Amino acid sequence: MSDLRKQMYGAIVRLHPAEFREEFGQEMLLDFDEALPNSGFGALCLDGLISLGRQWVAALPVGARENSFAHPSLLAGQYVAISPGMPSFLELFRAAVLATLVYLALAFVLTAQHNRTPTQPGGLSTEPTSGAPSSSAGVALHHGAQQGSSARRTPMSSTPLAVGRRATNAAAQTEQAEPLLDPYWVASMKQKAIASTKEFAKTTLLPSIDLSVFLFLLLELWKRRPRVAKWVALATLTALAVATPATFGATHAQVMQANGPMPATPAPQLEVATIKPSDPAKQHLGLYWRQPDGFKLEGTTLRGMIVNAYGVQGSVKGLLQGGPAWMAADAFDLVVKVDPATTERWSKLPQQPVDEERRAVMRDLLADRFQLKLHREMREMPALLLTVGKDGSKLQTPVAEKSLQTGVPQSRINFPGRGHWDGHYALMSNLCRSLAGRPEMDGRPIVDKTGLTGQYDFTLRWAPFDPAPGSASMDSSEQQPSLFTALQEQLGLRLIPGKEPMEVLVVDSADKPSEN
Amino acid sequence: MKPHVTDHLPLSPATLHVLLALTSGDLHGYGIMLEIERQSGGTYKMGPGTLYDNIKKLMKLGLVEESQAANEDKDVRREYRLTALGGGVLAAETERLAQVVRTARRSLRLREEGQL
Repeated sequence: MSDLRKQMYGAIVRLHPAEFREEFGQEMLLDFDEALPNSGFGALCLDGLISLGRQWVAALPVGARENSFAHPSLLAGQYVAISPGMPSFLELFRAAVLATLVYLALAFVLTAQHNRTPTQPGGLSTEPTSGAPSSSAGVALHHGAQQGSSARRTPMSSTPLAVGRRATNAAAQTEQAEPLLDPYWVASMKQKAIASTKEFAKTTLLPSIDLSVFLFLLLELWKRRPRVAKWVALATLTALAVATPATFGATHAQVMQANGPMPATPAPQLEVATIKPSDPAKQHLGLYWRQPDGFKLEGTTLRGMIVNAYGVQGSVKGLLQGGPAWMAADAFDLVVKVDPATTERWSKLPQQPVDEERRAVMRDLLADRFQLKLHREMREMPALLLTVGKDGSKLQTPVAEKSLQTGVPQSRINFPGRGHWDGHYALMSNLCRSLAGRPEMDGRPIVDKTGLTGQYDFTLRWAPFDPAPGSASMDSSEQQPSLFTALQEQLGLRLIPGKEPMEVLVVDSADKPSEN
Repeated sequence: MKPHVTDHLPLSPATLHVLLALTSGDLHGYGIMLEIERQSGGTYKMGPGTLYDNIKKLMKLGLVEESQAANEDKDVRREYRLTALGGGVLAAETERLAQVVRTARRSLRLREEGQL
């Protein structure tokens, strides 16, 4: 046992810097043997470890003080010697390291905070937090958009999404719990966090450290040689006076360049693009398949394709207007395959930008094969205005979730069951978008007039309204209030009918597709 | 320039105890540890790590040196002795501490009288 303890202490001694070890190592081992019975193994080891740290710090180039008597604190131990002289290199180094750590900590906190802002997509739920329809991933094509059915979204590419005549089933499925995490979104957020930290270090942190060190050295020089310091300061100011306009000009030119032509992201090259009328058995199936090398549609109308390609909120009536009658009646099958280079590039990207490229491909295809012409305009439409009730909002301050991994989006509305939403760090735009998908809204858009700009937690329970005859729910939800009443009683919010100008997509003309 | 003894003041408790222990004669490491324990009445114990860290500094500053006998025979424990400079530093530190003690006692006495 004693041998083992001696070996352990010997290991500590051997870890000391060579110079110290060679001079005192043997003596330390001998002293250990003698002191062990009285002092105890633990105390001796602790003492050895402290010595280990001290010796390595002293052995570092910056830790080695000169053998100067101008530094009485060498022997002063815990005494602090207040010296009016220049701080040592070690002290400067320590200060620089501490300052850098503080900067990095601040940068991390700011970056993390920034990445939790409302601009993030809602990867955790069926609701995107941005509220931008075009950012939705895996949108079901809405042949039956005008029927007010709910679109179901899924982050996975292999699942076909059905809408239209399956509206009733889809509505039920909508309220089931969704996969909690979109891996593509997490990867995207990680990349963004790393990029923003690098950007912060490059643009803010390093210049700040440089400036601090320069000012400190200038101050020290000023104390010792004021004349020299004055000249240095003057020269620096002169250099800045010359360099600033030049730098501004160069930067401005770069910005202008950046605002000019976009950097060359190669446009996807299509290898296959076939369109044909759907098999009658698949008519209005409205399936959308993401594929690694493109995408595929089955039983989809032109209207459904436009809804997807232009990110129209399909559950709201009237956002897509005009066009020939067959646009919502005739269904087509569409197969698009891109070139291998694009497939390779897509495989390295998160899902969201790839989806955006898929939509761009579809827009080009619609213009080319359907001769689709459309424009956007603002039209006043019936809407439901979400306002705060007379008793004020009952939304709750969010409670942080410590168990979540870093990068997991917090802002979301979960649908744990029929007639049950759990909002967490939810924005009013999330709520409006979720409400717009409900059949109770009768396809009217929801406009946020609450003036609430924060993020909130809430729980909403109501008796779901099912438009299909004979499909009324038979569970306990019948005891719950209607959605309108639940909003008022549980969240302190009201939905008031009104009219609002909305952006509408108007189809000017479209032809049936040309032969492949 | 020849260093003055006051340049080394104040001493840390460990340094003070090592120098104080060496006033009793040449000692090897464990001897110094035992002497420190004895002089402090068992209230202050020092391990080998702390001891040789201090010995190294003291030798570097010329306050302690290795005794010649130990240097000649490798099998014998190395012993250390106080140099003249070390003795002077110890005396100066003792005087400084005595002054601190005197001042403290006077201040405490005045305070007690003020409270009466």
